[in-house]
Amino acid sequence: MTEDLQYVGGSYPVHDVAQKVTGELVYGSDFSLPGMLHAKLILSTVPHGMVKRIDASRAEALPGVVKVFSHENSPMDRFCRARIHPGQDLAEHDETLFSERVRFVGDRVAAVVATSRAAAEAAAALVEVEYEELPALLTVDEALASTDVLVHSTGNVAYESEIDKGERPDLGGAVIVSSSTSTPRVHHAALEPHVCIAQGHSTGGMTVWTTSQGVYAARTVIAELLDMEYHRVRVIKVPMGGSFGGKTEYIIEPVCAFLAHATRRPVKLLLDREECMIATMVRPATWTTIRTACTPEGVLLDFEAATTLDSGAYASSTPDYSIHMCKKVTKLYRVPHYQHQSRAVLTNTPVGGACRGWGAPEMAAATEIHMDRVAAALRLDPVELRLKNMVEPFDTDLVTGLPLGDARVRECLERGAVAFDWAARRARPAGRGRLRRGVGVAAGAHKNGMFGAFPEASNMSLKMNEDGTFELNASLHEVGCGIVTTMKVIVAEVLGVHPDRIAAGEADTATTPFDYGTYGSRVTYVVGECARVTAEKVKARLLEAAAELLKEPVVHLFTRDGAVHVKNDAERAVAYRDIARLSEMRHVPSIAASTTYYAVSNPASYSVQFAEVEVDCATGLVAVNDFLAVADVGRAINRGMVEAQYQGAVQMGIGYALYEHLDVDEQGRSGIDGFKNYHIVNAPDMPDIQVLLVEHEGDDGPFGAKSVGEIATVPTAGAVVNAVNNALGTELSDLPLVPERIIAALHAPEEVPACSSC
Amino acid sequence: MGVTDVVTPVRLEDLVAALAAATPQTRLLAGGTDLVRSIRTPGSEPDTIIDLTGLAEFAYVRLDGGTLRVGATTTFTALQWDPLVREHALCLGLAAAQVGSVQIRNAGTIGGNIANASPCADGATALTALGAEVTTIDGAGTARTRPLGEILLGPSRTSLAHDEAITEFSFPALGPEHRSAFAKIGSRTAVSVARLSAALVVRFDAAAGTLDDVRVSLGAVGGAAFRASRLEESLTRLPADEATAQLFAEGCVAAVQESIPGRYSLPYKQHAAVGLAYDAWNMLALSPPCEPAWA
Repeated sequence: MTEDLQYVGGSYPVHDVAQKVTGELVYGSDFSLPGMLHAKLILSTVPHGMVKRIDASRAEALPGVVKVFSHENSPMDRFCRARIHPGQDLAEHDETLFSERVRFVGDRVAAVVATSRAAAEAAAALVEVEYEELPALLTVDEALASTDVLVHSTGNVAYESEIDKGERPDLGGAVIVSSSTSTPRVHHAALEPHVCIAQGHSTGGMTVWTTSQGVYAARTVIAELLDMEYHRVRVIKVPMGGSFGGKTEYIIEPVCAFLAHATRRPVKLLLDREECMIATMVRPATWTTIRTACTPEGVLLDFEAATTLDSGAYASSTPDYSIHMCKKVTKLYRVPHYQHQSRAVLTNTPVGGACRGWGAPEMAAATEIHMDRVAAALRLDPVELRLKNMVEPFDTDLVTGLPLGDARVRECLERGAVAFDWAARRARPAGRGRLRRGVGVAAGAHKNGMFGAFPEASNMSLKMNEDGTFELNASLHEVGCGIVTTMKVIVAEVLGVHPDRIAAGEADTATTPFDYGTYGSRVTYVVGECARVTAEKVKARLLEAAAELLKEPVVHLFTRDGAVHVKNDAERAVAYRDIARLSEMRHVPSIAASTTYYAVSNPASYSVQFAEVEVDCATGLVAVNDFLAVADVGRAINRGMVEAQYQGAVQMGIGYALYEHLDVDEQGRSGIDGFKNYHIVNAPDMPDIQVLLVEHEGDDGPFGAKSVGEIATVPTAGAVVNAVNNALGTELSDLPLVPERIIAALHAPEEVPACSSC
Repeated sequence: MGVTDVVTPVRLEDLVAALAAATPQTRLLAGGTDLVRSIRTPGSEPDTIIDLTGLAEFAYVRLDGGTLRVGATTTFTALQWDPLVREHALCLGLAAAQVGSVQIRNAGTIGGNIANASPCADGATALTALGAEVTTIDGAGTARTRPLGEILLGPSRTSLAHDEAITEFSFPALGPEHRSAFAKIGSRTAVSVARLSAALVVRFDAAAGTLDDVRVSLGAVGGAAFRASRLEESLTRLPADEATAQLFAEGCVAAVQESIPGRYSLPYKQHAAVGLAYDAWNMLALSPPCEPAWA
């Protein structure tokens, strides 16, 4: 791109940084309304059973307690927490506000509503629940084997799919390699817990304030469940302290809205950490086997995979998640034939659902661990093997049939290998002592929105104020990755004004136009392009107004620094702030535009990551000493934010590779109730992370930008696991590589737990 | 929804008065890094919290003849940097330095660490190796001194009465011939409870080149930190060389195996004990740094 960019590519803080550091920002949990009640959930303590009796008498006798709600006195209409719009496929209505049949430890049994949080908590402890236990299916193996016990009457396989694309070539002489990889169930670990506030109105309407990633979808779920017309339900996005997909689905919003509706009082439902961990949703555990055939030179001929995904107790979005695991490999590698069977299996465990990367980190871990096995079998360097097989720019994705766009993964790998000094580091001996060093590489691919799956679009309007500042009206959902700033920078670049002179707010179904929300790696690519197109329309109106005031044709004009200038005449310009005065307001009302933008493509974003680890063979502890993330971002809109997003994503991916797992015991309990016993990687264990951006701008996003938020964490775990295997000469592929697994692999390989599925 | 009173005595007599009024539902706060989390559970709210951190007179490290005295409300941060601890009880300073995070070390105290009676308590492992005695005071104003092993009975279990507070730890100060070390394995480098910890104290006879007064304490295996006495004896009068390091590691493995037979965590801990033992040994700096021999 040859144009001279003034704002795009600079570094800007997140839009509300000053409010955050001064404590001024009102998060959902800080928010309160006059007369507001507090709700506390009562969760199932058994993994599968019928609620036989609920005795709320002692709880309801406590001062301040308004009422206890359960299946006995609440609607039993079913809803789907993952519904985005009314006509959506694969959105099973499989849960109720409160369960009579409980399906996992953490299922909602009841809620206490009281005048204070303390009263609600104290009362919750007094509600007596008696269960008739049913046999519990705590693993996918048990669920698949069971014919009599079913998690839902529709069967334990929530969804099965198979993709078979391309033609299998002659495999004579081919080298066949097989692998099995398992990835754990993990918690999103957003710092802020889930919170929602709802208030009914005497008009019959309702307002809901939520830390959601999609207010329109929240409205769909609430309005349909409570049988209210959509225009009477107003859902407002409030500032949130992180999500990572954990607040994409509508779990507490319908509950909170119902409680407000039923009590006719404002109600706040704020979860604690344990509830967030076990009773909202988790990244689902997966098991993937891969069998590839390639030429002795290392060119892939055939790729066959089978994935089993643990949906947990409600299908939620996991059918779609399982399908998407089949759509990752062919974005990354050229292969003549690709076959992938996947299934989502219901179990009596915490509910699986959206988590950063939507199946891509899971599948990238399996694929990239497998590719290192292929490299070992062929005695090829892992970088060399990948270069033989990676897609080229403007290839077509074999599985989706969509063009991959300006796919620069090959360049990411080549430049990264040089920057990381890969060849020299890989050649260095791991050592034979207690501490052994290794390096690993992994690549990953992800999408840019939902084009190809359904009509992907966004809506917004932009107007100029009387003083030459601008207001963008859009349903933005800031989840911490700086999208409000991103939109301002895009608009600023088009209009030639500093981003500080543009106001942009967040989503409110009553006042901001329809948008799906922040997920699916769609915001910069789709919503950002909508902002650019809208700003171009406003710029055209500005130029027309200025042309009249300056008495010059539009083609003689350009915008910069908040003014319209005459080309080749430095003396003549009209500042935006003067347009109102000079035209006696005549132009101002028309310097505005609205746009509905339909996405036209869905290229792939890529990342290639390099890790160096040091493994303590005595304790099994792994230190990640050095890390390089190379990113095919098209164009960085906010450079500092892109780098920071990558650094955060690597933190998440290292945790996925080495630490995090939310398992359940024989009673279906996780035993985890907070960050004391659920360890993420903390600062002392974090390496320096170098981020190298590859920018080519060949696609249809604003100024060439592509998605960052999800792809950033896709290859991380694979790179770390490959580095550990390089250090130890092992073939570890059950994540996370906790010290027990490493010690077992070193001392008693036969004791390493095999993949429990597939 | 209990209502909890908080009293913060600032003088010893105020503490005695507060203890006299204590009930079995009264809890002592000595930093709060464990207590505050535990009393959040509905139904476990104390009737009264006696906040010991107001007792500035209990935060000290003193050398009293050959005895080192550590006040119960001394924070881990204070222990970590205290020159007397470094000179006369290095393993305690090293243990303090590995507790939690800076924030936790600034609040958490050695008295709280012991009274909380976690099997993983870093302070307990170090004090066990140092042969510490514990002085307490009760609601009648009676002071008692007894060995640490008589206080720690098991996970979250102590012999402390509900009206009894720890005031001081005391133990023979290590002399110039002594070396001591503390090592710990957690699930990550920092902010991690010990999955295994060890404190090692030896006296090095420079003339003979051998060890005596060997003391080995292990934590996070079993209900409370304990001394591996058989191992201690087996190392006595051995040279401070790599062969002894290996015997020490093997002895730690045996002690771990004996302490938690059949336990789920044993397969890992018995291997990790080797690394832990070498970490502790190397901190003594009596032989060139060594590591286990790998097949």
